[in-house]
Amino acid sequence: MSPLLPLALLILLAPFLAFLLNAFVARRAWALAGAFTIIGVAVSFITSILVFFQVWAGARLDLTFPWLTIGPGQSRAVDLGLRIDPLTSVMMLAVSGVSLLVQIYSWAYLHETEFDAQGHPHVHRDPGFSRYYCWMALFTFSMLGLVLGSSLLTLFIFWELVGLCSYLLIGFWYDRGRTEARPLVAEGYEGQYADARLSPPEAAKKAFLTTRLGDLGLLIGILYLWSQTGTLTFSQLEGMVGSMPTEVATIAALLIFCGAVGKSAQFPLQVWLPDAMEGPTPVSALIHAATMVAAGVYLVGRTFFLFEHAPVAMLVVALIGGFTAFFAATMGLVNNDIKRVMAYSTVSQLGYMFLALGVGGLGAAMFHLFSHAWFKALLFLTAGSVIHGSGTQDMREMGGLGRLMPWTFLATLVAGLSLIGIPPLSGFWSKDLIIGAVRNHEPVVGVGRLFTLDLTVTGLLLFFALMTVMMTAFYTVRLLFLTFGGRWRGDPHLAHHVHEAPAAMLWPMLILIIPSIFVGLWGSPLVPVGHFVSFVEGRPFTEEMSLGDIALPLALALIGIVIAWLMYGLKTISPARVAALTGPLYRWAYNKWGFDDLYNALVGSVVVGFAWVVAWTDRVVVDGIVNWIAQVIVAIGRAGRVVQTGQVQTYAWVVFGGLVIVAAAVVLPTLGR
Amino acid sequence: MTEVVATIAFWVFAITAVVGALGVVWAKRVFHSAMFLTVALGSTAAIYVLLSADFLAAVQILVYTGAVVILVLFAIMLTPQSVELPTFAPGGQQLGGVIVALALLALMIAAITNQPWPLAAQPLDQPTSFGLGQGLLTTYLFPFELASLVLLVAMIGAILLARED
Amino acid sequence: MPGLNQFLILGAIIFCIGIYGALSRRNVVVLLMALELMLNGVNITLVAFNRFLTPPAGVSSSPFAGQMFALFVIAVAAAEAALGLAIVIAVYRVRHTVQVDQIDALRG
Repeated sequence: MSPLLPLALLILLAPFLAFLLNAFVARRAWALAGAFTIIGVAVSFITSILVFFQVWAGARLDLTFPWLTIGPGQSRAVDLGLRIDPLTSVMMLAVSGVSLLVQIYSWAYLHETEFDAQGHPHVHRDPGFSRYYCWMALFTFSMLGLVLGSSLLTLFIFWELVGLCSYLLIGFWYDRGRTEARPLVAEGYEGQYADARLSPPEAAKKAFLTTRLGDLGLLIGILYLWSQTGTLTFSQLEGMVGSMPTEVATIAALLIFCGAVGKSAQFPLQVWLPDAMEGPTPVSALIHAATMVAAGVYLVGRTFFLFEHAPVAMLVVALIGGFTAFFAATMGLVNNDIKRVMAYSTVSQLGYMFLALGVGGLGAAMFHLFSHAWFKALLFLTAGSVIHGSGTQDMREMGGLGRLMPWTFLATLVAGLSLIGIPPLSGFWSKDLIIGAVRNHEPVVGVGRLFTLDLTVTGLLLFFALMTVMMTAFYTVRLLFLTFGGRWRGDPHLAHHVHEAPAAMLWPMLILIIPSIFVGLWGSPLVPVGHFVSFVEGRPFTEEMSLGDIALPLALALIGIVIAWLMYGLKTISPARVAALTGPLYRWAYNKWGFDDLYNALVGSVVVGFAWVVAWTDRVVVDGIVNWIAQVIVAIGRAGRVVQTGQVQTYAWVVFGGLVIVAAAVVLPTLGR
Repeated sequence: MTEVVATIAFWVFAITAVVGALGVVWAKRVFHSAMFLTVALGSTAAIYVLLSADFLAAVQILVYTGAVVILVLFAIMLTPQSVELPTFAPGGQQLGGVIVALALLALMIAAITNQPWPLAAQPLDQPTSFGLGQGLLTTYLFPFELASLVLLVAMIGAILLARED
Repeated sequence: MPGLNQFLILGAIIFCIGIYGALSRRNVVVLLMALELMLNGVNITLVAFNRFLTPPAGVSSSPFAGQMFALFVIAVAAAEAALGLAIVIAVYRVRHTVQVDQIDALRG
């Protein structure tokens, strides 16, 4: 038995045990609930580190057992099991590490400080404290199970569990209603309104239903794959893929990709992630930035051997990823809600990861996933700190927080620069690996020539990637200036209540600064041996990054930074003028490219139409049958009631009539002349 | 000679019995029905005499025409009804009654005439009082006691039912 | 002297007239009188059997079995008439009617 097995079980079961214990912990023992989850996740994290070092040294685990046998013999068995390989080990590190920091952060986040009329602070704890930690433990367990799965079925089970936890945590504040568009209290933005927002239960339902659509594709893909190959275990499938016809691989890969599109909020199922920001910010940090949304990327990475044999599927993945990266970034340019901007940024970066996968850069995609997890989680945690300290989510109502919340500012700055891709921070290395992979990609389909430019698919993908770099830089710097720069623009009465984050929130952020800076080095040329990509892909990484590869994105990033500085830092160009000039484009981007309206109308009409049909059937057919049965019975009763006249003579007549009949029956046969 | 007398007597009393019975059924007023009933019951007593059931004829007069008819008359007097009320059932019901009665009559006559009755060599023409008395106290003691019980219960029941409360 | 059949037919006629009366009159008292007629018809039949038929075999039966039977019928008929008329009087007190078709609690 592999020495990894007990460690794997410990990693899985520690948070699960925390979840079970929390389910029985009363609301009053809130501290216990928090303690159980934090300890459980800490155990997982420490064990993940141990596992990582063992895997680095070459240990592997691939344990399966048949869960269900269909048909005669073992040949068509459905397996469950655990698997540890380099990919698993880095995912576990990211999941448990970010989760642990988020759990600690949440402890302070769920305590609000309110100031009464005299200015005395009152600390008010969220009533759902225990429930929060219960779901968080369940989520960590589910996400770890997802990456530990050795078969598609195991993965799918945890996939669904993770979706459930997302639903539960987005809708955590279930009694909060919709937020109406309220007038801003912001200097310089008078007359404008904060965006209207969905209620948390609505947002949770939207998330669940949208990902459900993707999950349907995934399930069909799993069933299809099983019907074609008879197995769902990754190692067995990998062995079979060589002899699989391309069509089978393509169909399976595309269906599996549907699940990834849903879970990772790619086009066209991206609509749920911005609304998922209704959940508490630590939830957004953990689930919707670092881990769950990365599950789609992980899924494609896990089944990458399938995609490698299906070039058409790879092309689809790359195009969708590239397009999503681009168009999500456009939405982040104009949005005013700090969490929403980060949500669009997450969608965009996930697009990058799929883009990398689509061009064959498995290692590059996973590396970006790994580095993005740390700095994106940090970004969300800083956003949470800003919201917690300033009392608003709309960036127009902020300002001047750089002086009032210096540590938060520092953390946001570092994470933001990493996201933009400024060397030597992590984001730089991972993003450049992706762009390098796109550059070196041999296109499958060429789209002809225009003038002297070679408009191949690679060109299109490069355009998406590079434009996104510029836009990422712009919206990040915009965020920094609006939130931290200048003076406080918000409600003057709130100005002296703005405070830095408490220690329990501050320390996880500061700790996260370290990987945001240094994790990138693992994928840089500075570590020729043990490069991340070679670790994950299992083969030596030989591609070099040329200076041209580095220079172009960096230049575009700097252009983005400069434009944002001019608009929001020095105020040389007025953002309002720009918005007015770009008119319809601005409004289009602000309205999320119309997708929400389109889907609402579509779903609404379909659902309402279907409901009308069902209601008609119920009213006319079902009720009709029931009523008809009742009427038949009533009619029988009415017919039978005739016999009961209540008249004695009627009954007497019947008696004598019967007597006559009996007498006839007796007498008549004897009459024989 | 006695044969002729017996035959004539039979036919006379048979006819009066039937007429009385029809009168009971067809009389428009209840009181007339009661009178016709008396006639019918009395004729039956005469028939009993013809059948050598002397004791029974006496009992018939005493009990039936004496007590039962008086009872009926009491009931009629205690339940006065206005004369305008319809006395006969609706036509359909009447027809049903006629049909049933005639059918039954036809069947019974057919059965009677076709049955080979085990006739005794000599008809039983003896005084009956002694024999009935002896039978009541020996062979039919049990039914005798029961009958007295029945009468007791009926008496108590009738008092209870008819009492004003 | 008429034979058995004549007496039997007489009894049958009276019995059937009693049936017809029970079914076709509305007055309850007349109904009870028709009932008495029926019992009378039966009695005539029994007594006729007693006179004309061979006595029933068996140790414990007397030659007067038919008349015995008729005697008991008379006793019971008297009791029944008494009770029936008592009921009629009791019902009359409540319903103030002796019409059979009006003494009806069912609707329909």
